[in-house]
Amino acid sequence: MIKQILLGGLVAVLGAILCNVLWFLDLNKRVYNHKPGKCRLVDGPLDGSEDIEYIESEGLAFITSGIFYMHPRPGVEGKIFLYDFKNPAAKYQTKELKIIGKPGNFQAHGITSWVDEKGEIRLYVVSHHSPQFTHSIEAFDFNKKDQTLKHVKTFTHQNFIRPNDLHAVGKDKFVFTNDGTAQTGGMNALEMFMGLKAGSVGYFDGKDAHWLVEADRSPNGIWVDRKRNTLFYASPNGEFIRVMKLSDDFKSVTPITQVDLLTSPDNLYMDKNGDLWTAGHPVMSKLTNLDACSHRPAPGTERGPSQVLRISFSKDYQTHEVTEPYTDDGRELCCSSVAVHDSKGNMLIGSVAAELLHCEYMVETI
Amino acid sequence: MFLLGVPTSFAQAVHKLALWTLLAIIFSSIVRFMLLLDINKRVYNHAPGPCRAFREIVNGSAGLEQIDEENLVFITTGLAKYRGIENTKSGLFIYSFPEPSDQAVQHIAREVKIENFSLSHFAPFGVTHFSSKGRLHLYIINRFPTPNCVESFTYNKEKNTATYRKSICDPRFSSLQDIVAVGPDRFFVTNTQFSGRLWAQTVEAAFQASSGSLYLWDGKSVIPSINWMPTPGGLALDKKRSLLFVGSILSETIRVYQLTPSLALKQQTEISLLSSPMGIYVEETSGDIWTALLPIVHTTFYHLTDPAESRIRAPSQVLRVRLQEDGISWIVTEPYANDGATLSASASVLFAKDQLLIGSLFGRLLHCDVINPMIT
Repeated sequence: MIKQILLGGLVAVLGAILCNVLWFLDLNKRVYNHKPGKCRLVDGPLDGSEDIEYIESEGLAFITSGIFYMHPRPGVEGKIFLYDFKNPAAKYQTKELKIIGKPGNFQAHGITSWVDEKGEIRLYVVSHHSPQFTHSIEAFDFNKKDQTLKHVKTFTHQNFIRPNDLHAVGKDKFVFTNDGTAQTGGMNALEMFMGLKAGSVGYFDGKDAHWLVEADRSPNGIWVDRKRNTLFYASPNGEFIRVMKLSDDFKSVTPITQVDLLTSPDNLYMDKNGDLWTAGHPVMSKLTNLDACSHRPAPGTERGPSQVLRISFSKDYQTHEVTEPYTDDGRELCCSSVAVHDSKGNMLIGSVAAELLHCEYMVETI
Repeated sequence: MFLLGVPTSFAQAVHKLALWTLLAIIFSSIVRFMLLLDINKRVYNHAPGPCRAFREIVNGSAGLEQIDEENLVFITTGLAKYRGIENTKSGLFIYSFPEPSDQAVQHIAREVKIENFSLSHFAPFGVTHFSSKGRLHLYIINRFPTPNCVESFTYNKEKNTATYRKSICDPRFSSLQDIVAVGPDRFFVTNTQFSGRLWAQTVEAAFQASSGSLYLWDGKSVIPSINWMPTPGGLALDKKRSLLFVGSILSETIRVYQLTPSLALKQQTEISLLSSPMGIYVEETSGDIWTALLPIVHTTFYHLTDPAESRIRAPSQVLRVRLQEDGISWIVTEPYANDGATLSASASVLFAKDQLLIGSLFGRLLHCDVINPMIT
């Protein structure tokens, strides 16, 4: 009798897990292509454009390339490219930035920036060192005249478990996400399919770090609004974006709302209208491996699809509208991860491990 | 002893095999049903340009028919009457596409006066036309009677009147949806499901039964063209290429048939969409296929159970399928998508002069400018 009850319970639990896995894999979904205007690949990054930091006051965007994520990518090194929104002649061109004092085994992932009162730009980049997959946050100062980057600091901390993205709230101060705990592909798959809350969100003050969210499902892209009182982070595995009130001392957060997107959002960008932009992965089963997100995957591997969403919030964040400026089945751009725009009809869409795309847009088409 | 043993173990083996087979069938049915419901889907709004709704049409626009030579579009309205919503106004409207260069144009649909026919028994769905000897004949599916009928009218352009001619009814017409004329007093019509009752239709849908049919009216009698189809819905004819397109709502595909001069059908290909196609429109010049769809099954079901409840909305979607030169591969783009707030349950679509018309089952008719028609 007890055996039968236990067996029934086990079957029910396994059934529930199977249901969630089936929905998670998005087997009943596909991508229907559409774009907001003319789109074209930008010369420069081919091994990824995973994150983009757009500095509106300068009209400049910094693009991280060459991500390494648990699985080796021979011959791929971390780079940072510069894109100038103010130069129409270079609409489809980027410049690879020379890095003075480049740290060894640099593989760029998430990026953020801080512009001080003198207008000096400092970049903070998540790096996963190849081949051992250890993690650090590297700080670089941007020299506007020479257009070079100078490596100035390496931040390491035990709370940088598996950092994904970060957002600066002051000089050498940032909030960051760990998208999980596992350090190997196999354990990561287990976290993913079991829906484990193995990720976390933290705050780093330049010397030490503390948790803001101790456990959540795969926190990825992270953003803080200009007033620095609202925190946003995206969960591709949970298919949501959380909106949280950030305390003045950056010591705690309070939940405001959750946007259920039913697609996998990656990095975030907030424009000057307060709209939140994210790019991500609409069909999870197409992301078989990082090869499906590369410039030229192995024969027989289909490139993963891309999607860009724009979320307009009400002032209290309780209601929102989601629009979809761009989708592609992977032929033009695969595995999009970030989208930024200059509010003047130019949009940049980055991908995890492949190209960078420029799209023209109009207000009516986004 | 030995002889007794053999039948026993054999019977046990057969019993086990039957049990496991049954479990496998039940399991795969459950999985297919789960994926069918689209619980993990949502729609993200976007439009190909500025859009606006027609003020005159609020009770549905489920059927759209374009007559190129006259620049006329016929719009059926009032489908919800077949679901017992008595205060639904049903009828027929016409609209003409303006030239894209026209500025500050007013989009107005004019009501057609219907003569010799009672609108209180009219729940129109698909519509088609045939021009013959200078006369324009309309065939409109009427879901109101049980079983359903196809009503035939003659349209007079000068008077803007549609005069009733006859009804074409058949006991097998339980759930007609779309219609396409293929000759004088000849048309194909889709019967989506075997039963006309909603509860029985729900059971059929849950099992994804191939209980629909495609019928041909040859001027004298109703002939089954294809029996046992999975939920056939939208119909479109490409006269130039002699192709008939049949949408399958729950298989989420469009089947392409070669139409022979004797009106026989030979299947050419099947386009998988993973979204439920309703109305289909084929561009004569390019051969592109436009389809209006119901992208999320479970919200559509709620919407169908209570069409009068404006808070229960279903998302809308328009796809464009470009068949490639080989005729067996295609590219799909999505010109329009909406979560239901602007347009609920899209059911029909037309594209002309870089403009889009999107009709809905029980609600508005939407007109959109297409800013980038080459990439949309």
